[in-house]
Amino acid sequence: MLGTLAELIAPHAYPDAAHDAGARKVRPRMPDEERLIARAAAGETAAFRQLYERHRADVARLVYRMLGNRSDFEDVIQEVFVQVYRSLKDFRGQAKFSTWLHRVTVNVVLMHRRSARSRPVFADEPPGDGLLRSDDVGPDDDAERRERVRAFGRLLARLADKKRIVFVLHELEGIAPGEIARIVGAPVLTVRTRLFYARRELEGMLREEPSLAGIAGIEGGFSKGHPEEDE
Amino acid sequence: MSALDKVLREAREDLGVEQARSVDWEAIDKGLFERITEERRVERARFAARGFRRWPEVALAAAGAVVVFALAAREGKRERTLDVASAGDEIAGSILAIEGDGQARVDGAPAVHGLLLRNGDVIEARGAQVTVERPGKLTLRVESGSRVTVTHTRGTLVLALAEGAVEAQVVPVASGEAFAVDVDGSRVAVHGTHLRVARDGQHVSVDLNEGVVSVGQAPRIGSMLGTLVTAPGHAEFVATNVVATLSVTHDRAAVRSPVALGATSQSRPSAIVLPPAVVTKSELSAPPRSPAPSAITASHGDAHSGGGGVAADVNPDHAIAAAVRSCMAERPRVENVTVVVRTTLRLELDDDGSVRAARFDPPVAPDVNACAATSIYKVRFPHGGTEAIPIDFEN
Repeated sequence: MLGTLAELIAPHAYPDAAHDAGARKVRPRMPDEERLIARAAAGETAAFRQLYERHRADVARLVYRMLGNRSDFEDVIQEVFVQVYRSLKDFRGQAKFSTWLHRVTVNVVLMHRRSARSRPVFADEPPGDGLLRSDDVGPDDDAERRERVRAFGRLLARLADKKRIVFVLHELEGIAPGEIARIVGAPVLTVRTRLFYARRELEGMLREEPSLAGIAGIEGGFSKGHPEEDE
Repeated sequence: MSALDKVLREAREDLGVEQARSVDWEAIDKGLFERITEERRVERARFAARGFRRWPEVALAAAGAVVVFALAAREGKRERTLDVASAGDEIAGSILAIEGDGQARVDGAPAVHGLLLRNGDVIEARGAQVTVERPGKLTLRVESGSRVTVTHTRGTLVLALAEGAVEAQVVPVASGEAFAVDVDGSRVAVHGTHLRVARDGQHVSVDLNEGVVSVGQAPRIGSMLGTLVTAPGHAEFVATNVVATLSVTHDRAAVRSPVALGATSQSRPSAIVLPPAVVTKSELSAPPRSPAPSAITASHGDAHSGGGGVAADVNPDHAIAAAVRSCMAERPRVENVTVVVRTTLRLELDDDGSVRAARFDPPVAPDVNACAATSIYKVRFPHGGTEAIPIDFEN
């Protein structure tokens, strides 16, 4: 019943992810996880540590995708696991652990975003300069690809929180809209609508982003239907 | 494949992957486990302090129980009471549930299920809602984004609402006030009802789905003389000038729908466990010696929109448990004595869902049996067979 974040990365619900399945590694099901969760919930630190070590990389990736490149990235990861520790005793197993962990992560990111609005922001990455850092030295293709992904991350960060979160969960993490609805506590139709508008905004931004303009110009065709037609 | 899909394909493989790999896990581990260790230390200290505070009560409870048993034996009575007497501060209630992924704190420390609340405790709900039960009296929910302080626990439970909202289901009482919410000098006092009190700065709104409340200036002591608001009702006022600003509407559309605050039966160990004694239907049908819940409801007349107190509750288990708690609450009690009862009501049901026989296991006092019988046999279940209803009560 219980899955891991990595299991969720496996394609569920949409065709694009299915094509990309080979690129991602699916962690085998861990039959002891339920026991581990129960032991951690009962206050066993060693069990909590195992749980943390098992999921921390997935949480880090998800936080990065939702938050972007920020100096407080690691603080947020730590806060997610503090919240997991505090709330684990309330986890009753009605949802998959991974769904629950996503929900905690999304909430921490949102809380962090809210509190960060009242503080000065120190950008770690100049937006849209298209420059590569010295550690990006490598084959041209790799460097270009890295820059494209980095530029795309910047576009993603410009989306409103609600849209960005559902977009990341669906398009990058491969989670079905129904499960996202449970994670963000919104109706499925709302999730689909947010996905639709997120996609439309990103397509528009893509044309204006210098690092990605080439792709946009060559490929053209931003075709993905309205959520109603989507699936 | 569209341009976005092409970038997405790369982003799925790469975005955040390298960053996740290069995280300084050593620093995060250190900070995380230091925080966890500190939280556990605070939690242990908090529980230890609470346990220490309860020692006098436990000692007095044991002494009280001995006295009760000695008297009962000397008088040769068959009746044995489950009541456990203990002196000290009256408990405001205990935390029944914490829902949501945010934080709930009591006096700054993380709140946990089952935590007992006392006078002076500050409950803060941030991204979570906290349900508190005062057995036999009320179930309340401190909504997310709220902060309340317990300011009075003896008899009437009074909460001071600093921000946010509180929703409560209060068991009707024959006289006086069971529950009150103070907002900066104003008070909403409750006799028995389902209500929600919310504040936004100085602006206070009250939604009343059942029963009657008094709204007015909080008195220094005693019951409040305020404006009576009956259900369904929506009242609004400015906290600092309730008399001049109070407005009330009875338009149902203006009244916020209630949330279910079902009284539940969380197990709590009872100090004395007695062998069960069967209570026959005839015993249970004896004339009540204290007002039954239906009588209490009737005393409020048309103030209660739901009609008969028991029949109004759609869940028969909850309805019966509430009625039994109400009967227990009606028993005379000695000042400074806390009564704790834990029992299970076992019902045999006819095929049409009506109650054929009932017994408390362990038994309760005969007057509680008699009082409860007036309600139990009015309830009809959607099924036949048997039913066990755990009932916890503290007064």
